[in-house]
Amino acid sequence: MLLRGIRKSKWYKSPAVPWLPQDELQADALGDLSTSSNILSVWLINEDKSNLEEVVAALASNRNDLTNFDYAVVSLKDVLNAGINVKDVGGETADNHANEHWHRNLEELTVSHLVSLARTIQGSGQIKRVTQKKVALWIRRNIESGQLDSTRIEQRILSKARSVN
Amino acid sequence: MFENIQNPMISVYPAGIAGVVVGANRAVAPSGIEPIVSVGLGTYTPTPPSSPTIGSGTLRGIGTELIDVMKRLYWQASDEVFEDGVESQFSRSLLDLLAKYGAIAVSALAKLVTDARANEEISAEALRWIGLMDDGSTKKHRLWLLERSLSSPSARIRDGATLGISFMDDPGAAAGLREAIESEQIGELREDMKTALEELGPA
Repeated sequence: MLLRGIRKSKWYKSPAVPWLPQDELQADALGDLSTSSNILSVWLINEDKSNLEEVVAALASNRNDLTNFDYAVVSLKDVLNAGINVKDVGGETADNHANEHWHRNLEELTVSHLVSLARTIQGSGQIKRVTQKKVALWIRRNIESGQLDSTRIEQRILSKARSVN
Repeated sequence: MFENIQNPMISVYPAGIAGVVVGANRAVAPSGIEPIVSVGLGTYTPTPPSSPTIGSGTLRGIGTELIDVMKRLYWQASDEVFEDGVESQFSRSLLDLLAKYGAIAVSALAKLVTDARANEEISAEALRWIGLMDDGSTKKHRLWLLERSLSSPSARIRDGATLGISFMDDPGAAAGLREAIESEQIGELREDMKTALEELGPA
């Protein structure tokens, strides 16, 4: 599976968004698929989600403050079937293991690819929220195990991760 | 008008009702709602002329100017793409205002968050960040705005409020969340509210 951090409320569908036609997505959802040089950063998640905690902790610890983490996961097969180029490229978080093993770039993306990806998220993907408290626990566990390099994490995140019950 | 009255005060109440209470240190509206902020006219000191330039010597003047500043922040933020936990020019400016002007800035923000014409994504972002703030002097006011926003007609604002409440982690918000859960029509948002309530713990 491939994971992308998103903001859940952008992906609310009809009738949650009263003006939105059935089977449509809010335009803001594409903001969660913002590319640079036509590349989109995603993370590979094992089918049994055994590395989900590792990846979420890595991504959440890469921010300025400790909050919830919303994400979407889609099938790698669906992405490949959409003609999207998936490349194994190192990531840039405080977790070197995650950076080496789980980061992927979706490359040479077109507008059609992005729309297709958005539709895949909408259709067969899963959209989930990890709460702030759970994120804090996961970050703390991964720091204690040595997986996350605390010197690369903002102090605000570190202190909140330490103080969560 | 106030020559013979000791410590006359102007108060701003959560519903935006201005009230004048004289000769008391605690101003209470007829309905029993406590004011967001009360300023004794006899002791009021204009805010310093640092940026942003706010403060024309009256509470109403400051409130109006702050609302104008907030509107400008919203306008400037209209092209920003927000990401959970990632600071933005908007979040930094907003928190700076709240830190400088306290409860009256929360009141000014409330004007926009409750205005259906204001950008709901920006309002939702604001609610997240006021939940993350660590400032005891405005805690009550921020929590008030978050709880009030649970009944916003906008699902995004209700979600932002739910997150802001979860970040504040104040069991006092439990009642507001329970009420919101009862009336929430969107299944996934209702589940997120329930999770937030569970994680608040006992009141």
